[in-house]
Amino acid sequence: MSSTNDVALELAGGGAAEGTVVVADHQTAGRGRLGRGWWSQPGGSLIASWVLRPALPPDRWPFLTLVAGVALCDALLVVSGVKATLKWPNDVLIGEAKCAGILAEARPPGAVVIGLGVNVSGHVPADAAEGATSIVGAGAEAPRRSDLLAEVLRAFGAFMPNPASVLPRYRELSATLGTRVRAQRAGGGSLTGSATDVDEGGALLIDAGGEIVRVTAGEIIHLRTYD
Amino acid sequence: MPDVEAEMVANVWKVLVSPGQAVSAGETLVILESMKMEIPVESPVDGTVSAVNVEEGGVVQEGDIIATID
Repeated sequence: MSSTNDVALELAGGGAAEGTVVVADHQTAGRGRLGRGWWSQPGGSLIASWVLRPALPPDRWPFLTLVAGVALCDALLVVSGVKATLKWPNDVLIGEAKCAGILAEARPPGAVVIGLGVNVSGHVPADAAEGATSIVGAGAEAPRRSDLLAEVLRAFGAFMPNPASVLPRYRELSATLGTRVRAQRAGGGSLTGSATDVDEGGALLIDAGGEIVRVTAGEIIHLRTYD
Repeated sequence: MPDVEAEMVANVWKVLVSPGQAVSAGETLVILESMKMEIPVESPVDGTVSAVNVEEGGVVQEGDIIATID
């Protein structure tokens, strides 16, 4: 399959119902955010996308990517005992290495597709991405991919009646809050400060020398003390 | 002469059309990005792009006019 998001978007365009799930063993044209590639290994990754028809105004849709991140972290804990954390907005980390990515795409007028790629087992090539790992690479036992997917969808679905209810859990799982970060600002330049909170819109609040700046897009870099 | 408005605050990831270009209803004009969600903005009508008011790498606020289709 080229990409589960592409197939799910096509199905959504054809009227597929909420909850339609597309699963692949691996992808030939996996996509990460902003057109980046997403590598997967036959048998070694969980690759899935699902269709939503949210009863939310479109400006609330991006918040669903935070819900997906929490659902995936909680599912990893239940299925594999792995304590994963979230780098804002929804990179799933084990330690400081990324083990899963989430790519959400809207399909106007009313559908959203949420896709995820989880490195479950096997070897992550050195050139796949800087700081990448897998569940097995982090020392945990490989879960059955179907068990992991079922738990992700269950956890995600449990938050859907009230997506904002995910925020307390999101804050607990955040690897970003409390750290110094650099945010790339759209339109150029960057901003450095302390990540203080995530608001009800999902935006990251950064205290930059006493001024609180609300960041909704772009890349965040976690700074270490020596940066 | 429909104006195409941004429905949310977002980064402008891709601009796929330029003024003078013919577009069909449902064709993607611009792709926005917010919190790792990619949001295509589509033309509401068949027509010709008369103005594009955003640039790749820029930011739109809710209600900003992204493009105008004649």
